[in-house]
Amino acid sequence: MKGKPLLPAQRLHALKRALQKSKQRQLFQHMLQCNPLLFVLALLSCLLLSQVYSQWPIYAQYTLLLCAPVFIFVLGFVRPSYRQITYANLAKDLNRRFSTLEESCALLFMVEDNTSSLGLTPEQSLTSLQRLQFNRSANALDNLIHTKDVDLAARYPLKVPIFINIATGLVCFILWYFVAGNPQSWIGQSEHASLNGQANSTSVKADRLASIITAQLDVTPPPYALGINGYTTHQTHALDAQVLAGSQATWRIDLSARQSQYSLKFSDNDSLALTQNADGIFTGSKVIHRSSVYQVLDEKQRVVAVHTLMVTADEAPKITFIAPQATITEIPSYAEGTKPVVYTQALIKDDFALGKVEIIASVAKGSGESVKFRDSVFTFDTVQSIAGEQVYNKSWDLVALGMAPGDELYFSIRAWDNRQPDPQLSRSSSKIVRWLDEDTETVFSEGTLVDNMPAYFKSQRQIIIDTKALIANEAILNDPEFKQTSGELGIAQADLKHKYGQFVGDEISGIVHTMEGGANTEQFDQDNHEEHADDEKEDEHKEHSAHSKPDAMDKSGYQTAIEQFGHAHGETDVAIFKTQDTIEQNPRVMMKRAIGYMWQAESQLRLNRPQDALPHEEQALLWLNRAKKAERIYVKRLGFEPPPVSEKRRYQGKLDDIENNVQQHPTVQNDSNIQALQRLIALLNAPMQSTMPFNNDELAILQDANSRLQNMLDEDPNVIRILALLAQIESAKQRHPTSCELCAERLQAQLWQLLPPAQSSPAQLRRPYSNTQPAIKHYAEFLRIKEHP
Amino acid sequence: MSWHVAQIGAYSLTTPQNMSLGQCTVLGILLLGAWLFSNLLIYRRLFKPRRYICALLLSLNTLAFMAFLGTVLDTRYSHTHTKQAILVTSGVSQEKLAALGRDKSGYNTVFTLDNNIDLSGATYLASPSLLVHAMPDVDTISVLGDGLSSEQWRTLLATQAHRDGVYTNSIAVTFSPSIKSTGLVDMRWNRQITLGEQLDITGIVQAPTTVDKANSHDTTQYLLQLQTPSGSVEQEVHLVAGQSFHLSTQPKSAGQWLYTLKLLTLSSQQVLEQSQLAVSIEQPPTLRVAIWQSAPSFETKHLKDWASKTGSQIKVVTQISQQAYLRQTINQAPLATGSVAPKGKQFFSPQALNDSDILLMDGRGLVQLSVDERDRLGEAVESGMGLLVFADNDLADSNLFNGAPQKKKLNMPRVQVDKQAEDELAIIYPQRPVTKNAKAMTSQLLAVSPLRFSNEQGDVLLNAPNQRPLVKRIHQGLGQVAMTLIPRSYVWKINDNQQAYGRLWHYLFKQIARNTLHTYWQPEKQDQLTLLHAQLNACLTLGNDKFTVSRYQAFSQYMDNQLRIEQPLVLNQQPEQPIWWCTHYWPQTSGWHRLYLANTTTANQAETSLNKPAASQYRYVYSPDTWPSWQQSNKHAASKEMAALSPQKTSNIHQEILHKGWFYGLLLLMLTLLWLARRLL
Repeated sequence: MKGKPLLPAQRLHALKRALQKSKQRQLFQHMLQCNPLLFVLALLSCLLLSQVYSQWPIYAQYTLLLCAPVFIFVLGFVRPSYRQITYANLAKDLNRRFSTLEESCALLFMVEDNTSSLGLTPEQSLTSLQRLQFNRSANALDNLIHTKDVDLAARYPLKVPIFINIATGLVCFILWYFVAGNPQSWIGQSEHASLNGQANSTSVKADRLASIITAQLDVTPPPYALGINGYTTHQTHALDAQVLAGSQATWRIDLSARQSQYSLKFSDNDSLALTQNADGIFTGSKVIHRSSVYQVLDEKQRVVAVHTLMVTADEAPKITFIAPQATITEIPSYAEGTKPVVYTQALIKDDFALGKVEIIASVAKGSGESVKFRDSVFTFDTVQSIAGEQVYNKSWDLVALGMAPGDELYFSIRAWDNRQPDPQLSRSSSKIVRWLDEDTETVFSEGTLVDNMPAYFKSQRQIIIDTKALIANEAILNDPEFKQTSGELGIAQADLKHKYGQFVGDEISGIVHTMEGGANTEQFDQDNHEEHADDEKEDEHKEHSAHSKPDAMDKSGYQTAIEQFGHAHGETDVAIFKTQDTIEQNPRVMMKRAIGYMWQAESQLRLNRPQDALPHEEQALLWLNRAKKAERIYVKRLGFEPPPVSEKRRYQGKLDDIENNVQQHPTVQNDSNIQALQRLIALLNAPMQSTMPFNNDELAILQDANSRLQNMLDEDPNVIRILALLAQIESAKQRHPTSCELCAERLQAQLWQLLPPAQSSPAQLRRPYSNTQPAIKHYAEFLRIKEHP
Repeated sequence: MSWHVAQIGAYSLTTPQNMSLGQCTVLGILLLGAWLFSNLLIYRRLFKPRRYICALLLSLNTLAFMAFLGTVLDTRYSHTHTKQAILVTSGVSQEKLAALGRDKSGYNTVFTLDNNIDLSGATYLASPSLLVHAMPDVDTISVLGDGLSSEQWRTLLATQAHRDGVYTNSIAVTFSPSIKSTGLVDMRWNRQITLGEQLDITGIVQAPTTVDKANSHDTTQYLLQLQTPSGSVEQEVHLVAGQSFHLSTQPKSAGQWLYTLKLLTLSSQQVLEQSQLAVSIEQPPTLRVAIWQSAPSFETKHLKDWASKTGSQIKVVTQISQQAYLRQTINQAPLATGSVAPKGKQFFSPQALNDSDILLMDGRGLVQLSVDERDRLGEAVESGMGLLVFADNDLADSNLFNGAPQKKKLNMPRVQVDKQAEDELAIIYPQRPVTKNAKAMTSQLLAVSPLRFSNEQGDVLLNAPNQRPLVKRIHQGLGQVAMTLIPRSYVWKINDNQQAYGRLWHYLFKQIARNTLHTYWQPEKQDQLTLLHAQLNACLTLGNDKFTVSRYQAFSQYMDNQLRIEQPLVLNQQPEQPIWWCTHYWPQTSGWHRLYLANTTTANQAETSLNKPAASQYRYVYSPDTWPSWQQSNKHAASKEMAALSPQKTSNIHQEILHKGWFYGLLLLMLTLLWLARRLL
């Protein structure tokens, strides 16, 4: 389209505009070409810089991301392709693109240059031919300028850069999404790449369990124990400590992750929150009364560490009588001028210190139903310190106490220690002082008052004397005499054994009579006892019968009356109730033991071995004397032997109220501690389940065992170690926690030591054949026919 | 088939294989004719003008003919020698190794089973069975060192090559044992026991000089310690070389446990051997106990308490009056509402007796039974139930032993009253060894009734130190009837001796009660040592007809690097014992292995029934380096036995076929020379 011809200035302005536009386009292309680099740079800064070099603050990353584009933009101006955008190159480009310029666009620029710089007109600066061409080109250029669709500026291809940008952008986005979205894998690699293991910063996304760097436990014992037995204030212990009950424990723990909250959880479900000091150390304080296992937990209740606190209990005072040793002290009736005085001396000690010590005494006066008791409280006369121990002394003047012959004094010692706030009380055993009357010295035996010392108490001693004499004379006596004497001693021992046997209720051979039958008139069998002189039969111990006469045993007719009117209820139990740290107290059992030793002695004597019999004889005498002096005097009467029940008399009487009865016990509960521990040890031991986590039932077993062990802690403080191991396993909910791989094995070993030997139970034999096998059935039938043809 | 052509010293010429006589004859004639004809031609042509050349050519021709024969016929070299394989096992001394190294005999080949033995020129064998493959014509095997186990010998001889088509055991075996190591040998212990039973361990201490203890001059004292699984020392005993020992302990808990035996020298406390004893302790199955008594008794009361604590099902019927009875059931489901319990004197029904494993009765109660009831009781005993009777005077005075009227006589030990027999005695278990100088302590005495067994019928379950029987048993049909003269064993229980009480009744119940009806894996042999990669055999015993093996699958289960592996097993019924089903496999890992049956066919489903299999047993597989002395002793014994049973050392004739390549080469050379001669001449 033809328009008005432009002025040279207008023409120049259009060309300048085209030049600037070309430069802009070139810069734009340059930025597009460099944009992928920016994408990659952004991705790298997002992933690596922020995660590996975590100290880099965020703004530094932003600064980097802003400076990069600016730098690249500035770089565009320096780029050669940009610097080549000149009028000359523009003219060349126009000539190439528009053929109407007839390759003469440079002519236009040259004329303009001459006009602007030299002030020459086109007619003056150009030749005629150039002028002619100039006019033609100027017209063509003017037409181009007027044409709106024509773009004089140079064109730079953008398709490829745009495509590369899109592709790079997608790739970087994908990488950023999948990798940056799972930072742990990068963290794992970056931690390997890091040169030093540094503490986690707040930017660390992984939930790492804290660890204890340093720890200290300050223990202050209770005030009453200070200065005694080495207990001082602020004693430093490790986290697994043994402290006195009532001590104040203060924890100071330095943990790797100081930004979290921590607490201590004790096995009695008590919890103690730790507070953080200005120096970052976590502290907490608690008064400890009983042994426990405690765990250090973080704010997410995860177990950081497990430790034990074993408590040493303050023991109660111990009272030991030095004098009198015997429970019953008998004071004989005194003659004129002598005073009835009893000395008492006791050793009383405590692990720390004693508080109060007193004597509780009762005086019993009178007899039968008119007995009167008078209680009093006394103190010791003197306290001596012998070899660092406190010995308390007291002398009892029976007359001063208002006692008379026939009265009794009972006293015991009470002692308190200095424990605060509740002192512990110990009470000694009771002692009895018996002031005897003038006329009778009685022997109490099983509640039956025996006036005179029975002759048979001396016989055992006589047997011993005779045995010793026989041993001494063995070289002098010839063989038949020796054997005869030994046999006679054996017979005497057998007689004595039978006599004592009556008192402990042993059935005597030959007594089978009932109440209907009346008094017993049968004589004992007079069996001939066989001599055991034959060497071939020395090893046999044949039974021998009692050959003593019955008349000698029942002098008062007492036995006869019992036989006539009484009836036997059968043998009763002989139970041994041993008190701790004391000897046997049951006189019946002592008598039985003495009889047992008499058996042994008799057998040895009959085998002509008096030297082997002598120890048994002495033991028998020892136990007889102990029975005589037994502490329990109010026991079942001896010597009562009712006759056995006859079948005719059995189940007589009114039977209307006796009915058939049915009792059902679906399950015998035997849920003892031992069974709980056995279940626990079986649970830990399962070799095929060592890697499996615990299910709910198994966790219940662990908890049950835990609670039972807690209860056992007071009796056995060593259980604390078991509780510590169990706590670790329970918290990890698996047999082999990562923090303690050997916990299960160690716990099993500890439990094994705690368990008693297993009790035997009913069992069946596993025979390698089955009762249902045809061959076995035929054999059984064969046996049956053979037995019953 | 080949034909013998000629014999020249140790060399023999034979025709090729599979060539008939006619063919050989024709070929021979042709070859001979060719040789003669060619010689004739040479002679005619060259004898007169050049005699020496003629002689040379005739020689060449003859040599060529012989070479040609050598290529056609087989030339065998026969020699007599003994081909010996020297098998070096672990434990061989350095002197013997050095002697082997000096042995330059070409007919001896050295093999070794141990990679660690430094012996140049020895061929390593992964298994002894490969020896015969490596040396098929071996005449003698000379074993040095510890030797081979019986299983290894079995596999070695099983792979012996056939000789001339006939399978023979013609290999001679010699054995040079290594020096005996100091340690524990001939070990025996029960591998599978139930909780409450004793673990008995026996063995012998072996030392290098142990030949006969009586003649041994070795007075070195050893200390043997038995350590519990917790590591504490349970027992210690002092021993000398060659002395046997017997240790006994009672495990405390069910499970799979490893006890440790440690052998030390007493003087220096140097540990000579430390080996583990694997024991699997199982919970005992519950028992069904019935009690019928004519009066309440402390004895049955304590028995009932003891048995019920472990879950045993108990039913008790006690006469409390002339017509009134107290019936108790323990650890059983209560009677359904509406069902009527037996009233009055109603003895156990046949079904109730069949549901009981053991019945306890007092003598008076037995006497008071009617004839029908006694018959019912007899039938129950014959079908397997156990009966234990507490003997008393009523039983002794009754006419039960004198042919009382009944269809099925109850066969039981006879007792009679003997007032002199009342005593307090210790008890002795006949099957357990009585320790030397054992003295019956007072606390272990038990009162014995004034009764005595009147005849020798029956076997003794318990007796007194003076050999007086206290408990006797008689077999009747599939069951047994026992009688006890101990009326008050509960005294032990209340006198703080529960262990002895439990052990006594555990033993009696086991001897008297009905045979178990459960399916179970047979226990391992007490002297068996199961090693890694060695065959493990296990057999299942079916308890009753209702157990169908086809509905079950057997598995072995073990841990391998923290992973639990299940391996299915194949059960094979034994023809001689139809209720035995056996399987075997070769364990690949050491440690505990569990054999079990599951009512399924896949291992994954079996895993869900891990805790409730039909039958289960744990076995321990030892690694090959455990129990070194015991393994050495077993290998010595097996190798000595093999050497004694093998045939005498023989020398065999061996033939080698000479390589024909030489003959081909000679033939080629001769032909070349003949051609040259032809050209030159």
